[in-house]
Amino acid sequence: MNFFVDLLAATLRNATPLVYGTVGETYTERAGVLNLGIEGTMYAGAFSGFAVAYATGSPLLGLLAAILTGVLAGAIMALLTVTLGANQHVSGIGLTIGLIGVSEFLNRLLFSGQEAKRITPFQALSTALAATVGNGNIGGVATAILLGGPGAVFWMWVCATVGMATKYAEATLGVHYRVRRETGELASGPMYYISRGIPNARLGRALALMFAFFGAATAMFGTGNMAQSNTVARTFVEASRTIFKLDVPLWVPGLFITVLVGMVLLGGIKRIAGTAEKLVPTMIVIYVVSALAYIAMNLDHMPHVFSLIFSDAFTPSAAVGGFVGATMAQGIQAGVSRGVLSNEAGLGSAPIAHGIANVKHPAEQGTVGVFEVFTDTIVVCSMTALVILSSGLWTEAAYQGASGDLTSAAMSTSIPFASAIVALSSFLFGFSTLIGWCYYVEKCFEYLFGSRAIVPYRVVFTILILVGSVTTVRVVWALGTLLNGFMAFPNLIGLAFLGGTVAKLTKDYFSGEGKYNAVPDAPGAGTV
Amino acid sequence: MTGQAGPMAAVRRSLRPTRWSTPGVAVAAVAITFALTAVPILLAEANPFAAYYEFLVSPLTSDFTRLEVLVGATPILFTGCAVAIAFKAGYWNIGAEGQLLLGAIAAAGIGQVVGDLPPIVALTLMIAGGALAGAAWALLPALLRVRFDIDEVVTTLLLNPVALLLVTGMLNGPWRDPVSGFPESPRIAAVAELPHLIERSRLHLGFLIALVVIGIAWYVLARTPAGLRLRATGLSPHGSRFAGVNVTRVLLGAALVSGAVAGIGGVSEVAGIQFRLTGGLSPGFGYTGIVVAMLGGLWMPGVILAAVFLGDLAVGASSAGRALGIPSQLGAVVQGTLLLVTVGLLALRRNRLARSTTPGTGAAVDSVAADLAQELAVVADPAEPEDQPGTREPGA
Repeated sequence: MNFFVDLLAATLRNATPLVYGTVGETYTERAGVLNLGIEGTMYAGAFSGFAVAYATGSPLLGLLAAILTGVLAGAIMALLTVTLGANQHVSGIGLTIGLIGVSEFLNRLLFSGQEAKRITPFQALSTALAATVGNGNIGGVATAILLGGPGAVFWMWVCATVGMATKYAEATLGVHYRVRRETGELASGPMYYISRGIPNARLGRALALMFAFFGAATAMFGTGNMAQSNTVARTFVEASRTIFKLDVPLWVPGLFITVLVGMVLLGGIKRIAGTAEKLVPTMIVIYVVSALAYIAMNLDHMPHVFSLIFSDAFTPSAAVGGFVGATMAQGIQAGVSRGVLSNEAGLGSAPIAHGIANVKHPAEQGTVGVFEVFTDTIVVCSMTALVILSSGLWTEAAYQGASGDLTSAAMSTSIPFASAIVALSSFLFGFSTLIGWCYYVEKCFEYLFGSRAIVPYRVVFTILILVGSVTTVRVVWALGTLLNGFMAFPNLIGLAFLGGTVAKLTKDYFSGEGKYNAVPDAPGAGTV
Repeated sequence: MTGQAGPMAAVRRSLRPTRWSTPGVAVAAVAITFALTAVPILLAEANPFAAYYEFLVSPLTSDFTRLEVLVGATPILFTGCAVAIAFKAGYWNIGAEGQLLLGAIAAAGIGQVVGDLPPIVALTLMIAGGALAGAAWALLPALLRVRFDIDEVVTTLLLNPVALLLVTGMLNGPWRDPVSGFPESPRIAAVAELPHLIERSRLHLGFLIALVVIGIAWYVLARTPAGLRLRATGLSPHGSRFAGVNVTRVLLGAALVSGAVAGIGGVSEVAGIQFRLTGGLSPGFGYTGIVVAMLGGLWMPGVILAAVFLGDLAVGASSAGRALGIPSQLGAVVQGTLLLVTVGLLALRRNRLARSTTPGTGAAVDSVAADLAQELAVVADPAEPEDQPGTREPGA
């Protein structure tokens, strides 16, 4: 009995499209027109119906569009066979070939790659990690120690603990408040959750504009650009000095990375960026393994290193050798600012990437954000710090004021070719960070000025890479810190306002209710 | 046949535009098609001129792609020729797709068992087998048409998916590749492969065979009594029958030859390109053949030009897709538009022609055909007139 019910249901389901085709064909054949174009007409109707229903959200309008498309296809057929008296069979075949072609063509044009634009959580993590694990992990940590003493490392850890919570909130809100731009692409980031989430519209708009403006500035002159190329250039120079005994001027590696980034941003050679992003996870592993090997070889130094980190955290660091010493405040300041520079928690940059991830629920991406901070600061930064402190080189006068070269030189004391590993890591981290930040800031520009004016911005961005590579370390990182502050300020205010929303989303996710599931066109994601 | 005075000569003169304006129609159709397809190209945010350059010129700029154009033209030379023969006789064979697939099945079947034979015998067997299979697939609709006056458009068209199902059935049943388990037939024997014409190119003997087939078809249609009977039947079955042409035989013959040529096209693809039967053997060669035949004005040299042009377009469509980021389905859009524009223009021309002759429009053309046929019957062939139900009213 059940079998027959199923059979009947399946018959009806399969007969439905046939009924439409048959009724239409019977109608025209009664009038003496054999319409072989109905196959193509059904294709075109299916496409236009879907496209209109998708764009308007109304199935009724979709149905109307499909009907109009069918009428139009019939009109073409009529023009050819009735008005002109052309051969019916050939016209019908032509109509079918043409309409199927047009439907598939437009379908490709409008909808393909759409899935690709919503990236997987892992891809979002890679993008964010590629941008996050940057030279903050190599040069930044060295700078923190040089400025704030060993205690800075402790404050960096503290900062990371808070940072995990911040990043969780940022990524969650990023997904929840994302929008679909007029270009059809998803867009997200603090400017959207601030402006859409803060109840006072005027305040939200002002803070969002402030974020977008300083976000753009940071990428141009701060951590997103000049600080990166600076570290890359310096580790290269150090590597060539230790390996090849060759003094290379800073502008040589600077020019190299400028040209490479320029090829991607201006020449559109995406393969380079894709390769770099694939290499980053591998590079992190190589870097961490090298650092672990170093630590294993110098295991006897570790108790001293840890006691140094913890004792200096709450007391002023004494001047040792070339190290001029640091107050506790300097230690906190250096640790926190370098920590933020490195893991970018609270800065507002990472949610731009996290926000467009293809996840079921916003909080899901939040947990990915936590993992990102953990990898970046607790794992990678700590490795760098332990290596530098255990080498003792941080007290030597020669390395005061140099950051990337300190890490490189420190690791070279035990690991052969360490400077090459550091230089290569630094290069890859820096390269992917530059590309990642370029994307972040284009999104800021898009928010400020709409989807134009990308090319001039990219030209300036590329030139500044070269400038950054030859500038002095302290100037570059100081500028970066300052701009980061301006960028983080509106973001942190936004996070404070939206704490309730984060809690609500978290509860929703972990209780399994899924009321706020992230659907690209859910009420949570309107169009700008 | 020339030099006669009287009404026949006047009508001949008025028919003359047909001769010179066929290339004109083809060129105009291409121009109008490109104007129309500029719209989707602009939608894809590409420059139409750059797109046409990629489409038409860039495939001709390197040796490899030039040869690929001919490789792409090979199957549609066969189907275009097949369709042109049938259409010329007024037999609307929409089934070249299925007939090609049947030829491919035959080729794959014969190709697997002829390993011990010399290549020339093996290839002859495959071509003969493919031609027979294609003709056999065309036989049933043709019989239904001449015996019971059942519309061959519907029957030939509906047999296409059946042929595809037959291919799928073979590939998932007896011929599933025993090694890989893929739905692909075992590879044909080495002796059954059509030799390549040029080293390191996919261009194979099938291309030359296509040219020979088209040459024969051209000769028969243009220079023999049988060809004249076929054309006369196409112009006016009534007039031809009145003139003593055995229309049933002409239609059956045209249908079977058409099927056979399409079947050889299937052999050529199996033995020259794929070396086995696959589900994706034909991306609609049979339907593209209709475009080729119409664009070529149902005229064999025109079929060659149209097939090479569409081969160029096919190679260009895939490279333009990559170079300009235009979906490669644009190739299908151009094909469909081209076909519609061509039949539209042909209809326009026929209307003008009809108006320029005597009042009574279509009847004028019919009477011309009748005269032609009668003349032929007297001159060349004493075919006995007969009464037969196999022809339809024009315009039915």
